[in-house]
Amino acid sequence: MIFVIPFIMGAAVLATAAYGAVKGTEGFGNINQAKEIGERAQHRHEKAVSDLKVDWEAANRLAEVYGSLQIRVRHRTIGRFVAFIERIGQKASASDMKFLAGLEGISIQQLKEYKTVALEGQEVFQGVTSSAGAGVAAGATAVGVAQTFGTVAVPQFFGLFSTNVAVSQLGMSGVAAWLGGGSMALGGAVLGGIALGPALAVGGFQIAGKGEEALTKAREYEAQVNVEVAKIEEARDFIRQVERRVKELGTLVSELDSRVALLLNELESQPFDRVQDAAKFQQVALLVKGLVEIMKTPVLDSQGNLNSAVANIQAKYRNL
Amino acid sequence: MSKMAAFVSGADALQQLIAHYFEYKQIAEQERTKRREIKAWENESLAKIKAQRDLLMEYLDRSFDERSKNFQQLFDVVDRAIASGNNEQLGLALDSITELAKSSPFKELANLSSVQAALADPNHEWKF
Repeated sequence: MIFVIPFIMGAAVLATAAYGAVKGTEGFGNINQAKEIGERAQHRHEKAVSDLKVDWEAANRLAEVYGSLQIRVRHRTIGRFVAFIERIGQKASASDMKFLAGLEGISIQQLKEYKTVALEGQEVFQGVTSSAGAGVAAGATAVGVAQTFGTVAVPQFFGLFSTNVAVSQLGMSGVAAWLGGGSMALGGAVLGGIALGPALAVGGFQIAGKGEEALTKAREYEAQVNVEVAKIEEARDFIRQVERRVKELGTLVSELDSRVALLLNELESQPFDRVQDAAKFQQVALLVKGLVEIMKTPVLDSQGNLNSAVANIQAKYRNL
Repeated sequence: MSKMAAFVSGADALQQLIAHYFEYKQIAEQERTKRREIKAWENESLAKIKAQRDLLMEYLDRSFDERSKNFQQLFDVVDRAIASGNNEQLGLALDSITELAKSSPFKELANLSSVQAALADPNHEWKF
């Protein structure tokens, strides 16, 4: 009977070793699966960041278009209005000018402001047209629209990951190193002959454990990426709303601008008559006042500071 | 190797194997628990982000639509005032346009909780 015990024990060792080998195979499978999960997640994150950058650049371009519209309006419309006043001022008597300046919506101070606005527009307009390469971007920056955009890198701007978390940071390198060590240990065990079975089983269980850990790390990374991608999608939606605001302001400027141009056409078509044209002149002045006010309005908050507005929104979000 | 030595060696090996097996079982269980927790955190975080996103976009969409309608109506008043020469009315309509333009639709987002309450209230009157 005593001779049977080693056989039973040997069979038990072999059975456990076989089970360990199966678990080891499972462990390798899990490690590979973890690597694939990590790589797929990383790819998704990279794509989301790249899409966000594309949207951001599109919003920047829209802001530049609005900036160049402002320059044209300042240069052509406000400038034309100022020139008109200067023209009639040269011909008008002091009492006429006093009368005009006394109309509601027109003051000497406002006229000075319009002149400055028009001059700024003219300078930028000439600067842009004289250097072909500068394009609308220079103009847009000069009127302070585009500079509220684009100076901050997009991911940081929205408080998102600025860099990708690489798969190697999942602890995969640790797993790989262990596997390297493991195979050496297994090699030693083969040389050891008799200890081969237990060593395989021990290695199998250890690999299986490492596989479970790798799978957890990969899932953790994948979950973080999924949450981050959801935030990026939210940021992209927000950019679309910022674009809507830019379009809103641009439409208002265009609407007012076209009305000013029509009225100025009428006023300029005949010699200015203080009594007959005063009402029309006042209409132009009121429209110009609105135009200048709207062009002063920043795209986002009262300080024209996109960052603080977004930071504020984000801060409020978190408390919901 | 004597029989006794082989026996001792086999028993040691079996003991070692069993120890490693239980160690593996413990790790596997711990890791499964961690993965369940990760899944729960992920679901909760995604649901929260979605709720915030829906709230923000719904508010801004409504706000911009309403503003667009108001601007259109105000420009109708502007055109009528220009045509009839009613400069007082023109001034008032233009003031309303500039005031509305200056009031950023993003400004109210600073107080999202009130927006949330307003969205939940079907009788809330939206003024932009």
